[in-house]
Amino acid sequence: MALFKKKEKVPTIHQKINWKKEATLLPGYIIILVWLVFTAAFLLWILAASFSTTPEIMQGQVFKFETGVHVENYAVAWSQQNVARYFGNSLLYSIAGCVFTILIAAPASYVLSRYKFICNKILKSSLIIAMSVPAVMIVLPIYAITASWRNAPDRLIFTVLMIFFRVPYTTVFLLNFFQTLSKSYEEAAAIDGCSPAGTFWRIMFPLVQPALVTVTIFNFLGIWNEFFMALIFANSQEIAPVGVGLLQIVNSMKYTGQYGALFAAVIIVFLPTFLLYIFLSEKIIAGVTGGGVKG
Amino acid sequence: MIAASILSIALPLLAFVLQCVLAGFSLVCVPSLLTLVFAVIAFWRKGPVLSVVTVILSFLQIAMLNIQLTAILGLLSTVAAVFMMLSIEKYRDDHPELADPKAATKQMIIGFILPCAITLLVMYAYPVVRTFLMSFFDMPNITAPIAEWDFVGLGKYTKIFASQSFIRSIQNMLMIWIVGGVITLALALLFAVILTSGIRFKKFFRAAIYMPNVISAVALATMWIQYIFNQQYGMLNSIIKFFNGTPINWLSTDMKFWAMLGSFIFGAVGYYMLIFISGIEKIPADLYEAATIDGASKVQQAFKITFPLLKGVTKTNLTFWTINTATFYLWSKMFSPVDTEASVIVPVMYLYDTAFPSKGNMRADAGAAAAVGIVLAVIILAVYLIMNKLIKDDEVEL
Repeated sequence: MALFKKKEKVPTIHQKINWKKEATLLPGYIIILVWLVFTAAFLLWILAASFSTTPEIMQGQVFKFETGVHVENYAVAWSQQNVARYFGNSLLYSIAGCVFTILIAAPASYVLSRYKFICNKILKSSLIIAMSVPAVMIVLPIYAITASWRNAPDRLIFTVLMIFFRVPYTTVFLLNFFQTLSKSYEEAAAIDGCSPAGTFWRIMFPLVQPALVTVTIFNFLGIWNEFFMALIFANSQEIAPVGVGLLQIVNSMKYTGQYGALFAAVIIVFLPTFLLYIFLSEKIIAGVTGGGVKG
Repeated sequence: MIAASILSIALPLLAFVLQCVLAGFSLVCVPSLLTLVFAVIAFWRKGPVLSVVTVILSFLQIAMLNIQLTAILGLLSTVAAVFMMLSIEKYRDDHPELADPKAATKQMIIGFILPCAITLLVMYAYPVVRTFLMSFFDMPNITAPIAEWDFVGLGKYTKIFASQSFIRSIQNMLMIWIVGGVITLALALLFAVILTSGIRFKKFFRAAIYMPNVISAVALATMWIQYIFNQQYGMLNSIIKFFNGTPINWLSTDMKFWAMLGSFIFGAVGYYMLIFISGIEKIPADLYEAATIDGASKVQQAFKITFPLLKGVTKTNLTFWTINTATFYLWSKMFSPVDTEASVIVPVMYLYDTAFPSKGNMRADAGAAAAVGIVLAVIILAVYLIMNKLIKDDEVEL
């Protein structure tokens, strides 16, 4: 909602409303507003339901809060229904995934975009093909490989899979950004006696920071929302990320019947990426239309 | 320098010995062993890339939680490795004679490309080839070694195409592709045209419509199933009741597919809208100015200028929609969470149930599952190639 206020004020200060022009656009406004009112109404209902008791939800009276605001739903969801664990798991997968994906993809992207060597072209096109390989084509053999690693901790396996899964996209995304940097940086660094690898880490890597931020946001969202792979490789209570965890909560709802806590769990799962989006929506949208489409 | 290096060699050594003594040699010991090897080579060659690899490897040790003590050792050795990395950098700066630019560049290229190439081989090349092979074999289980595989030719393909659930899943997928595709792309185009027509709060509207794409789809599906479609207190039935209609059981077998498709479309529209908007914004503004001067209305402008010039982005959208439909899974799973229901089954769901049957009496058939994967990949590829033939990009270069 903070977003809405901010965006609303800017135009009213600078320009007067041209009512005639606005009138011709009225049908457009109405269509968009219907869509948004629907979205807002249903998000607000879920939010209200997460503070209500099960009987209140069943009677459809979530906005009245007759028995008060039930914050304890969140406590129930967080501890009894294991959301704390799922949340921690997802956080671990996402953060470790983002960091290591960048550490693998950024150097590769740098040399691919700026140095000529054998297999350069082949590697670039393989990366683009890998980006569009659907998960169903690779999960069965990977399952066979990982199943033989009985001793390796499951969390590690899933983290590594998430890293590998994001590498092609991240590398391809960064190619254009490294390409646009001027050669003079490397020349100057070489004259000053900096090693090529040192030049990358100290000069080139920091220079593409905006692109790194954008691609990291997408990696974070991708790993946080990953479902299919998680269902196969991380579906036990202990190591499940939020998506699979929420499915388990829904499935156990028949026995527990705590609808308030269910909606609280939904809100907890929904919030991190939603908050991220509120602050970074411009960057995310620019990233979708700028970097993502080209592959 | 010396202290940090000794520590970053000694700590993984200690961790490795501890692991071997306490838990026996196994895969868990590999990171500490590799850390040890790389730390020694990095110290010996004073290699900056090697020291970075050491840091990564020693970080991996932390995840080996089988013995908590070794995890702590892993943490300490990560710190030590970072210090070693920094001091090696400093050492190289102080000794410029070490630098051999050509060899260093070569080293860097190999060091930088290697992890990425390994990823491609391990995560993509090998699995794709193996999935392809699997689809021609019968095997006792997914993890069976190749020696136990039994060649059956196209047997697995004939098997899945003879299966009623698979045919049903393909029918459902086609329905999603055609009906869902038409509605989603039409809505996306409508929103894109409205948002680029010069209305106020464009950025806010755009962000709000795209929003469902960034939140967890599981949370979104749960919201729809538990609230919008709920029979007692759900939003749709409340609206119906308000107008004195009879409430509908949205999650009944007949309605479930359409309920699923509707909620999926709601989440998907924003993405395709963004692609359309980026296409529209590339169309030169003077085309519209000229049209306005000639007296063309906004609707006429949309049909005469915007749509014909959007061929390229439409192709992008169709390709994405095809991939999205062929790999459709999450929403089906959410709408039939426990036992797969025929009304919402899709190929990926069939694949999952074939490879990992939840019921004890069913035998996993990895070969058939692989065949489903291959069929999906072929569908995606075919649609992509046909689209490239039908819609040529160069016509619409702006």
